[in-house]
Amino acid sequence: MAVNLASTDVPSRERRLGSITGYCGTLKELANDGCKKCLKNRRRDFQTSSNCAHTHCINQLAGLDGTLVVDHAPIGCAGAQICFTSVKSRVPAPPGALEHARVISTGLTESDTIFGGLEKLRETARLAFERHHPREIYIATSCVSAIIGEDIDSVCRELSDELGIPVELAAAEGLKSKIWASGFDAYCHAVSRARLVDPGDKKATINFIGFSNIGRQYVEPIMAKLGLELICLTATATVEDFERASHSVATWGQCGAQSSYLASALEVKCGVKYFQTHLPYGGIGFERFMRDLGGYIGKEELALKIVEDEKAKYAKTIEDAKKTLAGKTGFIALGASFAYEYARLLRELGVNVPHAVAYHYDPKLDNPNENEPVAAYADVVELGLDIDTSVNDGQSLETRQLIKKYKPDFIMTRGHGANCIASSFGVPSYNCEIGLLLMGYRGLAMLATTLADAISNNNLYRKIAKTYDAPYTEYYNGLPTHSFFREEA
Amino acid sequence: MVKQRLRQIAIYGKGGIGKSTTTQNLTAGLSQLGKRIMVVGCDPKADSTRLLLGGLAQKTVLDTLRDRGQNVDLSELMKTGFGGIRCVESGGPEPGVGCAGRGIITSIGLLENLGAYTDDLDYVFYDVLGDVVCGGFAMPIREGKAKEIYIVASGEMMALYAANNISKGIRRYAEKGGVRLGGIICNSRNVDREEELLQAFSRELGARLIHFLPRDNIVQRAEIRRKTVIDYDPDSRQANEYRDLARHIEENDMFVIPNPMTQERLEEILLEYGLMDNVTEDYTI
Repeated sequence: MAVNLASTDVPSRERRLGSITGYCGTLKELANDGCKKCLKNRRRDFQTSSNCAHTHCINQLAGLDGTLVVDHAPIGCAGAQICFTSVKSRVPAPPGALEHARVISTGLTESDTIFGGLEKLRETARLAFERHHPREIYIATSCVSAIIGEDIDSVCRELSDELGIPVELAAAEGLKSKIWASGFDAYCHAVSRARLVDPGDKKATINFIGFSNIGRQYVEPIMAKLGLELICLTATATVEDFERASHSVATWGQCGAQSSYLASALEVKCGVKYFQTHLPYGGIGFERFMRDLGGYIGKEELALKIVEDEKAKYAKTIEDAKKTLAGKTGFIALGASFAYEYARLLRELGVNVPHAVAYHYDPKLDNPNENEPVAAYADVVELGLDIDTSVNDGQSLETRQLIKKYKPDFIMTRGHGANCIASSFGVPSYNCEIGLLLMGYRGLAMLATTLADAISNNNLYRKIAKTYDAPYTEYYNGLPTHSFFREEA
Repeated sequence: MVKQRLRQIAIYGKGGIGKSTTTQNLTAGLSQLGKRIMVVGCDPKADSTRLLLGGLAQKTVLDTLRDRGQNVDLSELMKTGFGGIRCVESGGPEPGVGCAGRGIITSIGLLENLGAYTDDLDYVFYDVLGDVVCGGFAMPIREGKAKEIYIVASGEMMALYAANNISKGIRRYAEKGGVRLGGIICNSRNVDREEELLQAFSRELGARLIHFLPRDNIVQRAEIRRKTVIDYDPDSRQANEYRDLARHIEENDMFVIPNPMTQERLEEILLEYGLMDNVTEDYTI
């Protein structure tokens, strides 16, 4: 079983799930052969840019309510901490309840690498506790503390006894994985050990796992109609939220990359059903998800009635926008799940998708029920969805050559610089929403109208393209879209 | 007369093979040839200069660095021992804590900054812990501090296995820098056909057996009295062996990039030379 909460550490996504950071081919091949672990073109010779799992683990932990993270690392590892505060500040919270993300670095130095940094760690945790009185402390490991082999787990137990609060290890050393999303697993593992409680009587609640609870006001009424109260295990989630979530009937997540480990831990430890295969985005996704959920709680008819009502409510808005979008081409560069979720959404809006780039790909997830495939596989099998696709994490040249080749009308992306590359060709980009905001027909309507608006005037992008000189030499400029793989398809 | 260039030598070998004892006795021998020498102990145990200094009286570089920061004077780290040999101990963390390899890197860097490598030195010896266990312990050869390596070995299988592994490390760094293997020093354990075996092993590496040190209990007696053999009993046969070793190193002009062998080949050599056909039941050594 992939989830093992008895261990302090979680293996990397590559080892646990067979996740990959390189591929070019079709979605059908990726989904089918990925499951069989016989994919070609999955090994790259180099990586031009990426991110760090350490950052993403701390980001998630620091976003929780009542928590404090001690980053047992050189100070440079805390370079992205400004993002933690900004992310948390965007999430709606009750008035007066918002607190800044609290991350305190031990600031490991060269001398600490020689003589060990555990005393410094103890002092930092004590000082942090005295200053902020958090309800719990997470101690995040780093590459440096891992290489010198610090026994941090023992210090966690010792400090927990001393301070009288949970002190949990988050094994967040970046060197463990080439996939930065492994930081989500480190977060999920740590928070599961610290906050999930033993299973008890089931309550009429349903869990959503994601980055933020933005958009919950649109989803709560839908769940309320099914008799379920929504619990958001996102930034600002409290200790009590996690305790209550342990007794919920079901969980779904914003995507497999961020949510699957915690959702699976809830299922393994607390018996909370994890809906993994059908993500509720767009009309098709919403309908399948509601059918699954309704069937599970014995309210399928009611669930389908809710779907019909939602469909009718947004039908005109969607149809109007579809007229503008008909025949357009949209290029996608997004995370492991959303790349293919958006491929389905764009198809639903009548937009042609010539290519989707995923930052990595998980052929399976941590769900203990192996009969439930990942969402992309389900779309291939159930809907016949098949597009040209590739897996690349911040490979700027590759993304550039792809956009140059396909000349899309717009691109859908989120971070990783693809929007800048598109701009250099005069192609407008749409910064994608994920999570609750995108759910159901309301989410589809929002996407449709925003896209229709965005492509109606791309004057700005055209002007940018006129003044842009690409830094590539003739050699690189003339390369095929996919070079530098170790194997051939 | 033109000053001979400074020779920086690292001594490697399996843990417990006698690197520190050999290094101190051989440097004592070199000092009697009029050479000016510095010995840098690269072992957290900080016992690489005990015989030259008559005890563990010295504060290590890393202890000093921890207590005082970078603001230290060389005289606090360096003591002068037998034959005017300058002795420095890198030191290291407590067992099970931190990274001793990183300590070696820091320590040698600090010695350089403090001007320990003076122009009048003829030799600097690095006495390095055990096998090449990580990048930190490979630092003396990796960074080109030591250009000559001598491996202390014996006829025991694990000693030869370690020597072969160390040769792999030397080869790796030799290809990008100037480090070379100066030879193998056999510190005898009185195993079967030991000298022949070590000759064959050295030949296979493309190197030479620079000296065969016979086993002699006087080494143990001198060690208990915190002395090199040359200091403890200058007229003994073993003292002369160490002087011969010193002379061989002083006169050595064969520096090679070793050709490490496969495990299979190493075992073949052991089978070929490591067994005495006429001794089948007597395993005493």
